[in-house]
This record gives sequence, C-alpha cells and structure tokens, in this order.
Amino acid sequence: MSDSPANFQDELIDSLLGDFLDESDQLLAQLNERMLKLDEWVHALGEGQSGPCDPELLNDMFRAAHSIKGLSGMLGLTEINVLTHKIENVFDAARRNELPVNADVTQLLFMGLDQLSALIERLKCPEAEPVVCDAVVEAIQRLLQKAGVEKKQATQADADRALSSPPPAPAQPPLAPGSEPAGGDPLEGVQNESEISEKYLAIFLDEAEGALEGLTAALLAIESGGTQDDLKHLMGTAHKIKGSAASIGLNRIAKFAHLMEDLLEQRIEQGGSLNERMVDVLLKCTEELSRHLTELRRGTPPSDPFSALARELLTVRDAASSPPSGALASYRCEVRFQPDLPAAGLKAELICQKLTKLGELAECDPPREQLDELEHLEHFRCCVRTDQPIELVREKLRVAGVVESRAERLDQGGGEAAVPSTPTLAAEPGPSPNDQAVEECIRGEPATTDAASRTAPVAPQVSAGNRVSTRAKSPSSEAEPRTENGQRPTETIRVDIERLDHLMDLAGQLVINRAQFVQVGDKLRAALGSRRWVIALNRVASELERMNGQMTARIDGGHTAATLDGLHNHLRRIQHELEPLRRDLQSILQAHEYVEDLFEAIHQLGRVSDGIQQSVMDTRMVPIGPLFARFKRVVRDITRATGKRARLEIRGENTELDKRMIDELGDPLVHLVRNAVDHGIEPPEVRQAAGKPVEGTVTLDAFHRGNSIVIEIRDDGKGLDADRILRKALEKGLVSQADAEKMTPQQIYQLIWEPGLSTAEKVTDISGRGMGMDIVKAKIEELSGTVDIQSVPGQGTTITIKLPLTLAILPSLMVEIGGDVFAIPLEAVVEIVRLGRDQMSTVQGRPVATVRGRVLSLVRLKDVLAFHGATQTESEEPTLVIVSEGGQEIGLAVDRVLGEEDVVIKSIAENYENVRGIAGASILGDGRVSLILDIAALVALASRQQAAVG
Amino acid sequence: MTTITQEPPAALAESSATEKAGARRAGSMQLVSFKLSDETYGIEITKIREIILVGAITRVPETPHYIKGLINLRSSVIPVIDLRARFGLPESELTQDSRIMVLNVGRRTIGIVVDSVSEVLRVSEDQISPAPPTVASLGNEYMTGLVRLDEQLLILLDVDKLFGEESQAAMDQAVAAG
Repeated sequence: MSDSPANFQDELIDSLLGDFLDESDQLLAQLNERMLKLDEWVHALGEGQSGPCDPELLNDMFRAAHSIKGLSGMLGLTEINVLTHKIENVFDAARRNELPVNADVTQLLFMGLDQLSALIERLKCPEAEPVVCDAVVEAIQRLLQKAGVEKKQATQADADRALSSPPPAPAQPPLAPGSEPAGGDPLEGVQNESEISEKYLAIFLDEAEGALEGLTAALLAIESGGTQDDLKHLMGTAHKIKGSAASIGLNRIAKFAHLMEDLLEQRIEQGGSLNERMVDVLLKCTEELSRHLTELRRGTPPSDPFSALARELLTVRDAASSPPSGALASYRCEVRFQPDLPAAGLKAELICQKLTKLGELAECDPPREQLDELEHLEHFRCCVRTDQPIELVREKLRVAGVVESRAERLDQGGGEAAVPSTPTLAAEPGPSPNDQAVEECIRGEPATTDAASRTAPVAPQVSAGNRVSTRAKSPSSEAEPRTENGQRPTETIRVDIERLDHLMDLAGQLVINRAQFVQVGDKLRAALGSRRWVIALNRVASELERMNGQMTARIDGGHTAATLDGLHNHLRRIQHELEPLRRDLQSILQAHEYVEDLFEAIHQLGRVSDGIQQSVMDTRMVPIGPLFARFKRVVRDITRATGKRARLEIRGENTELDKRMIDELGDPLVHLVRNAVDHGIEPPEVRQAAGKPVEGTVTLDAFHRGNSIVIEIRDDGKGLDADRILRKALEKGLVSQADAEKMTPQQIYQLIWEPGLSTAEKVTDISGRGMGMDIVKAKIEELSGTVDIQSVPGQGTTITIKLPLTLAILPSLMVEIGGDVFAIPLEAVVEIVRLGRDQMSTVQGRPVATVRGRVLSLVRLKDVLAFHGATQTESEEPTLVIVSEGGQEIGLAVDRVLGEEDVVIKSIAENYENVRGIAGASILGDGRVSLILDIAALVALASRQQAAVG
Repeated sequence: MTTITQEPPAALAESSATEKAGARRAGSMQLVSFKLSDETYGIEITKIREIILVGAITRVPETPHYIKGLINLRSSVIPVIDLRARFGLPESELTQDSRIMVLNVGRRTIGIVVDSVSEVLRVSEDQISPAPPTVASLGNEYMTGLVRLDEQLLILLDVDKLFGEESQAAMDQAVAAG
C-alpha cells in the first residue's frame, strides 16, 4: 500500500517520476482552482441546497483527476492512485447529476485534494511524515454509496472509455434518460491508430485542408436549400476526406467525415435539401475539422470535439428522417426579458436548465456559456429537442422577469410545415418550489442586490475560449476564438533546476574571472609605469651621441689621443649596448597599447558575461501568479472557519521572481495572508457598523521598484492596535518604560517582528499555528529581503516585503576594515561620510558620531563580532558607512571604501554553517573570499550592546 | 520544479558498501598519512578529495577558534579547520610543507590544515588495532584505531565523527535558535 521508494530504482521510472511530479503539480493547481469555483458556487447556493453545476467545470476536474490517477497507476504509486480514483468517481457522479454537490461534498473533496498534495509532496521529500489517507478514501466511499452511485466504473478501461467520449458532452447538459437521440457517443470506441506516418500525415493535411475549404465555401454558398448537384458535390468532398483519413489511420476523423457524408447522402436519397440547421451543423463540423488539422500540423495534442458534434449530426439527420408526428420534435424558443432586468443572463441560464430537463438544448443565442457574465439581455433564443408537448416547453419559458415568450415547432423538411404559434404573453407566475434554489441564487443577497447580481454565482465555469458559437455562419467570425486559443504556444523545455543552478554558478565564475582580468590589467598597467622612461632613454641616447661627436672632433684635434681614444671606445660600447635595449623598450612601449587592447577585450567579455548572467537569471524567473493563486484557498478556509467575509484580490501576478525565491516565499506569505484575514478583517457586523463593506478585501500585489521586487499584503481591516502591542512588549520586556513613552506608533508597529509578540486576543488554530511574525521576518531576511509594516487604525494594515531581484547577485559596497575586505549590501547603505576626530565622541561610554547634527552610534566591527587572531589596527579617522535597517541607522566604521561591485553570493552554510553577522561570502577578483555583512544582524547586535551598557 | 533524486536507502547503503570494498580490497585499506606536531595521522583515501597549497584564508568572526576561515575552492566557498587548534596541539606558523587537505564529510566539503602530507599507504586490517583509552591529545571517539607501522604509530581518524557530528550539533542549535 505504501509508495515505497524501493519501487523506483529504475532510472527510467525516476525520470518518469519527475514528469509525474511536474504534471501532477499543474493538475493539482488546476483542480484546486476549479474546486474554489465550485465551492463558491455551492456556498452561494446556501446551506443544504444543491443543484446542477456547470458540467464543463466538473468535466474538467474529472479529467484532471483521471490524469493523475492514470499516471500514478503507471508508476505504481498505489496510494495516490486509490485516492485519485475515488476523487475522480465523485466528479464523475457529479457531472452525471447522480451526486448532488453540496458543502459536505466540496469539503470532502478539499480534504481529498489536501491529502493528495501531501502524498505528492512526500514523493519529493521522502523524509516527510507519512500520509494516511484511508479516512478520506473511506469517507468518499461512503458518500458515493449513500448517493447510490457506487461505481460500476471500477476499471481503468471503463474510465478511459468514459473519457474518450467527452461525457455528457461539454456545452451540452446531460440528457434526460430516454431522450438521448443517437444512443450514446457515435464515435465511441473509435480510436486513431497509434502510429501515424509523418510523411503521409503531411500529405493528408494538405489534401484535407483543401477539401475542407471547398466544403466550407460550398456550404456558405448554399446557406439553405441547395440543389441535388450541390449536395452530391458536398458528399463527394466529405467522402474524400473520409477516405484519406482512414487510409493513414486517423479513424476518428474518418468516422466523423463518414457521419457528415451520411447526412448528405440521406438528404440526397430523400430528394430534400439542407435546412438552415443542417448547414449550421455542417459548418461547425468543417470548422472543428480544420481546427483539428491545424493542431495536428502544429504537433500539439489536438482537441477532439468530434463526439459532441457527431451527436449533433445524428440529431439533425434523425430530425429530418423521423416523421413530423414522431415523438421527438425540435422547438425554437424565444423569450424577451424586462428591460433592465438585473441578472437577466442568469434568468436565461435558468430557462436553459429547465429546458434541459425536457430534452436536448442547442443553438443558444447568446451562447449559454456567456450567459452568466451578461448583465443586460433582452432577447434569448434557443432550440430544444424533446418528446414533450409544446405546451410544456412554453411553460418552462415562463420565468419571473420574462415579458414575452415564444415557442414554435421547427420545420422538418425543406421549408414547409412550419407550425407557427402566436406569441404567448407570459404572466408572472411565482416560481415553483423546485426552482427555488436557482431563483435564490439569482437573487443573491437581498441587501446588496446590485453587487450580488454582478457577482451572482451561477454554475461557475472554466474559460470558454475554445467553444464555438453555434450561430456563427462564416469562418471569419470564428477567427477570434481560434487565434486566442490556437496561438502557437512558446516552445518550452523542461530543465532540471540543478542544471540551471550550475549554469548560474558558471556565469558567476565568469563574472569573477572578468574581475580577475581587470585586476591583472591594472597591475600590468601599473607595472609598465609611465612612458617617461622612453623620453629619458632617448635623452641618454642623444647625449651619448653628442659626446661621441665631440670626442671624435677632439681626437681629430690630436689632444691626448690615447686617453680619449679609450674613452671613445667605451662610449661606443655603451651606445652599442643601449641599442638593443632601446629596441626592447620600444616593444614595451607597444605593450602599453596592448594593455589598452586588453581592457577593450575585457570590456567586451564583461558585456558577454553580464549577458549570460542576465539570461540565466531570466531563465530562473517565474511569474508570481500561481503562488498568489494558492492563497485563494487559504482565504476561503479561514472565512469559512471564522464566519468572516473576505475576498482576496490579486494584482501583479505577472511579476517575475527567481524560482528559488518563490519556493521560499510560500510559508511566510501564507502566514501573512492568514493574519490579515484572521486578525485584520473584522467580523461582518463590526464592519457594517463601521460603515465599511461587509466583505473585507485582502490584496496581494507584486511589482518592481528600482532594483527590487516589492510584495504587498494589504487588508482593509481594523489595523494594528498600538496600545496592545506596546503593553505586550512591556510585559515581555522588549522595551523599557522610558522608551515606550517616546515611541511613535510607527515604531510600535515594528515591534510586531520581535520574537514572542503575538497580538491575537486568543490563539486561534488559524493564526496561532505555524510561524510567528519573527520567523516571517527571519525568512524574508534569509532571502536578503526586508519587511516593513504600516497601519492606519480602522483602515487596515499594509505589509511590504522588499526582495532583491535575484538571490544570486548582490550589488555591494566593498570596504576594508582592519585589513579584511567586506561587502555591504548597497541596499542598506544610506550614505558614506569621512569622519573628523571632532565628530566622534562618547555617550554613556558608547562611541557615537555626529553627522550634520545627527547623532549615530559608531559601530566598530570588531566590537560587535568576535574575531580570533590579530586584527590590524583600525584607522583613527575612519570613514563612516551609514547603514539602515528597519528604520534604525548605525554608522559602521571602515578604514577604506574600495568601491561598488556586484558580488556573487555564496552560501557559507553549504559547507559550513550560518555565521552570526555574516550574510554570506563572495569571491573577490583576486580569488580571495570576502564576507558579506548581515546589516540587520549588526544593527540588532549593536542595539543590544547599547541596551546592555545603557 | 525542484527535481528530486529518489535514492532509496537500500541502494545508498549498497553504494557506500562498494566504495568501502574498493578501498579495503582484500582486508586492506588505503590511507593518506600526514604530520601534525610530532604525531602521524591517517585518513582513509576515499574521504579525501584533493590536497592543495595553503593560500589566502579569510577569517570569519563568531566561529570556534579552530575554524581558520574560508577559502575559495574553484568558486565554492569551503571552511578550513586548523587541526592543531582542534586537537589542542601547540600553535605553529605555516611552513613550506603546510597543506590543506580537502575532505568530503557527508554532503559537505571542508579543508583541514596539516603540517605536511607524508604518503599514501596501504594497510591491512590486522595492522589496525583498536584505540587505547587515551592517545595523544584527543579523545578516542575520533579515532578508528591505531596502525602499527615499522617505526611509528599512525592514528587513524574518523572524519565523519570529527566534523559530522559537530556540525550536526551546530545545525540543531541553529534550527532551535531560528
């Protein structure tokens, strides 16, 4: 029963497991998101109510659960498999309307999904606590049994079949038993061959696309009616598509084209022509076919809408062939709503739901999936195919708010035998009891009719982008959904994050190497010295030359010839020696130019290495949206548990952050969001009394600011209670009474980050568990970030997290202290001042510095951090680097400021452990290691020391 | 997507077993011996990654006295431990012979400063005798045993115990504090 790791020794399975984890993460996220929609909907229905939900949504979830089930089964992950199987069954039952979806069901499903996440987490991290999900599995089992839908669908094969026939068809509500026209999916069991030859596929695609174009053009030309010849031409084209598709193994297309051909053939045999509806359906078919072909060509997994369409094809065919007196008939319905009726779209949806109970619904205008978003709607049209009498259909159309309704029987043949009916003016009957639920949900909160109608929850749904309006006549009108949906996705490749890390390391090394080059270049330049020696040498040479000339003249004059001659020879020799030296030095002169070339090359190298680093960094960047989306669930859970009302507003979801950072941010953010809802947002009564909207808002926002990324968590709750915080802080001895009196509210709020300070009246199981605010702060600081809190009583609290763009590179100020080189994060540096002796003094024995009237504590590194070994004496007149952290400033005494540098952060803990006061290490241009100072820790240490003395 | 490497404990045990088998072929093992003060020590060769010259070591505050500092080992930062200080032996200046032995300890890489590296030798199991209660200046919990060589005694060090356990304790401490 346990997914013991011993099962995956196989390397292949290992890589499959990676894929599985990747895939299941996405599927889980999808499931969770959909669940929230479902939950919202169920919640809006009210206690104990249930109703039919958007089948598309349930289908979607069913498919996601099914995928996880299938994958886990393949990998032998029994527990996951069993659990997802159960979850899948629930979705399946729900979409078949066999299981009413209510709050209990969603709660159970949430539990199931949580367990599932835990199981999958455990795969990533085998040391984690074992997950026992038997209870949930059993609970689901009981639920299903109670609903009487204990699955016959026990085998994978069954489920696969259920999948391949996109169940009670998307966009089509489940058919009432008995009224199913074509007896299930006409394409059931029709599968494409698994291997389709690339070469022939291309040929087929070209051919079929041409044929489809012809088909579409011909259909548009016919519009309705059409001669026998037209029909034969159409049939021929469909036949061609069928033939070529079948020949290369695309059996589903073949079968589908066959059905199209069937319809046309039947019309020809009966000597009839095509009615409007048939043309519509056929056009839709060609549309879908060509979309399918495009997707095949692109190589993306093609959508397979054929089952639903095939059913429609059969429906129109049967409609045409069955005698007019037959049990089944199609009716065109039309209703007119009161102008300005609130939530008219929802009323229309209600009508749809009612008609669905009679039979099959089609050709909704506006399309059904848009209904719940429509504010204003005057006319609504649809077709219903049913065996029920027309009176019943008319009755269903009478819904509160409908001014006029019409239902008429559709013609069966070419255009005769229409049964017109006089428009029936509907009275306003009270809603029948069984409509109560839906009606209620449409009305929403009585107090806030307007707002509620806008957000009124009706069957929630997934994006309707890929659905095609049934009324669309020309392909051009379809262009939009197609591009929206069929846009070539950016090509992606899955890369092991370790590899990226490695690449990042290499890029970092490159940056270091470049710095080494610069150093070497500098040394070279210094070593070559100035060019004065060239001049000097030339002067020596010409001096010698001159002497030589004079001597020659003297010798010629016959003066003490022997002595002079000797001297002369010496001079000659010196000149001779000097010559090669001069040539050599000449080439050194050349070297000066080479050094300049070197710097030019280094400059280029720098551009490339920066580019590489930037690109690698970009590769690691992922949008923060999915992380934010996770908190919808958090807010939902808390509001349910506390009876508060709050919604989460998400902004800046496209802001990108380093993947590692996103991974690390999850926990602190959960805590902050929980806090915002649990402690920030007031109960509804209180809010109402304060004149605020009953529903509180928590906003998550992310944006760039300068070289940082800012994440804000805002709530419009009651704000922080400064008095309480201060009282607590005094109790805990975090501040002295004297200090407390001087503190501004802003300073008091910052106390919330101190360990052991929790302001909750009672420790709830929501905010009470997990980390405290001090841990949140520590976590953010681990990411080299800062966190700040602002609050306005009665208006809310804003927490601002500021993070560096990346974890790997830190813009720093390099300084020398006592012979050691340190990096100070530039982010923390406020200013740099030279300190005169007169600016230094002591207050209560502590050194302080006065900078333009401000008194700062003067911190010497060796006083706050214990170094062993001898330290070079520090400068008597140090330079002061003023750094700030959390609103507190200190002056750090340094001997020398070396300049700015982007350092690559290396973790000390990787091979050793974290060191107090040190945020990390980096490698200097000369290969030495330098330490990065942890300013937050230094400020804390300095103030602690101060407290100890003062 | 964090990729995990599913390394089953069983397989892990197996791989380290084969490792050991390689080093201790036919009841013998390979050691690298080095000098510290007047004593000779040995570390199993499989634990040693490389031996390098002593370069610039960056000292780190707030660390135990035997942590000499950090060095850059091909762009990764590793701590260097002064074994003399660790064992309470008298301090001495670095010499021409001083070396840093880079060791693999668990998942970490650390360096130790030694007076000089002597040789690589193979000793058979029967040359190794259990450590007496007190040998030299260190407690015997760090020793795997003593190796009797022709003229001298070699102290066999258990690197994992020497550093693993200590950093583990420090880790626990850090976790508790954080």
